Amino acid sequence: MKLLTLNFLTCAIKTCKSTPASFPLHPRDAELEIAETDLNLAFLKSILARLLWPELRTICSEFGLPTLPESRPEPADLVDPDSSEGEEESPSQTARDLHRVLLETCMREGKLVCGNCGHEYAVKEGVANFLLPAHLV
Amino acid sequence: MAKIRGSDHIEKEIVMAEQHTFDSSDERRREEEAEAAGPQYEEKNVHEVYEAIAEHFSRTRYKPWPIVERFLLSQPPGSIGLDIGCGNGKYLSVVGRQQGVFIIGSDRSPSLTTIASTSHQEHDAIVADTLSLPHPAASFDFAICIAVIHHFSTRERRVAAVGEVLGVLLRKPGGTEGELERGAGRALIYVWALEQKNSRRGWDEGGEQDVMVPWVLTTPKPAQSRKEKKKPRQQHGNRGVEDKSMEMTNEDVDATVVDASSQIVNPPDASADTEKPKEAEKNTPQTYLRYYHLYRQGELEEDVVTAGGKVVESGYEKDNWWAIIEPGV
Repeated sequence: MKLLTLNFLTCAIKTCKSTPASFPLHPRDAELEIAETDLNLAFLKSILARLLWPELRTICSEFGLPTLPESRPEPADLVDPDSSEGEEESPSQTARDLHRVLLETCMREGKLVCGNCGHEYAVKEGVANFLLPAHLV
Repeated sequence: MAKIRGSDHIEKEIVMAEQHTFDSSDERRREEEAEAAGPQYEEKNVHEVYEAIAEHFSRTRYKPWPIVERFLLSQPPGSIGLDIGCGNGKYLSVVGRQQGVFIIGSDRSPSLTTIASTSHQEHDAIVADTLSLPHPAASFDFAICIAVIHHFSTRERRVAAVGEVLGVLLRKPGGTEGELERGAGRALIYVWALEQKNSRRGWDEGGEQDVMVPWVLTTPKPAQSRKEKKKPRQQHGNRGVEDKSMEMTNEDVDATVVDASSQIVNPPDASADTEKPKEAEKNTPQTYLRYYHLYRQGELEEDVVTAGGKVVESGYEKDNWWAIIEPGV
């Protein structure tokens, strides 16, 4: 499961969803893996505005990953300033870092814990399971 | 095997008779259980079945429906969406990073989710219940929910499912600080129609809306309880299943009711007209029944409005009712 996905996941329990404490979920006993994939600069630029930036920074720091810049980069920050004019834009270091964090860093095993109710969701072989026991539905 | 050649019509009767038995007994059971125990009923008559047929089901799900494809391709770059009830993730291959779109698929079946997650790596898939989605409210540009809501066994639960889909969509004017100005998020929902005049299933207006639909699966394992019942068909090789498949399958739609089990035993094209007694003996067909609520005309729109949504566009396509919806004002 990609960290980009974690940016859009919260507790499945209804009463938690409305509380800020439930988002983002907190990783525990996490095993990460890097799955390399081609960097698509246009894609990164287009989803930049959709990222919940402070929460993404929290996720990264809880995983012990390098800290992301405090404020959300602008699309222009993702383009290498040395890209020669007229040629295809090449990604800046910021773009490479973001690509690595959002799309190549995957949570393989572990748990995701709700900060509000403490419920733990298991992640196995890269798939998180959000099914709830009957008494919590 | 030679002695049963040419007796397909007799075999068809056997198949039909068995079919009838399943339908009536299951219908009784459904009526007794459905109202009292929606979740438990669905666990047994929907979730456990998909879990059991996941691999075979997945092999028959590869062709996207045109309206769904068009909806996905119409999403602008930078859209984040959900595929609620993604199954094997066949719609996760329609759009990707090239189109600037990212989708999180979810399904109730862990087996189908694993297939979706490993075969569509541009996106992601999680195991989740449509009535308890683990997503922050009002966060997504779009959602698709294809052939899912008809599996909920009470109207209350179907309306709740539509409400859950509406709840994850961005609301007008949309976006948090720093985001582009966007309209409300939109979802595309597909459900099976009661009106299927031209299908072999023969369902139509005025008919029973809550039905059990069979899925025939041949497993390489020795069969369990149903072995005795199926013995006549087993001796006929794969023929019985083939016949039944012809009976039930609308080839134009991939909401296939029953599929030939022989795909598991033989390559698809080689299987139809060959009878292999030895393999047939090893592979006893199992019939699994899934619960469906067949929507009558206008019912999907009613459910959307009851759930607090707005119907942007709706229609009928090949045995299905569909609607594009957005959160109400």
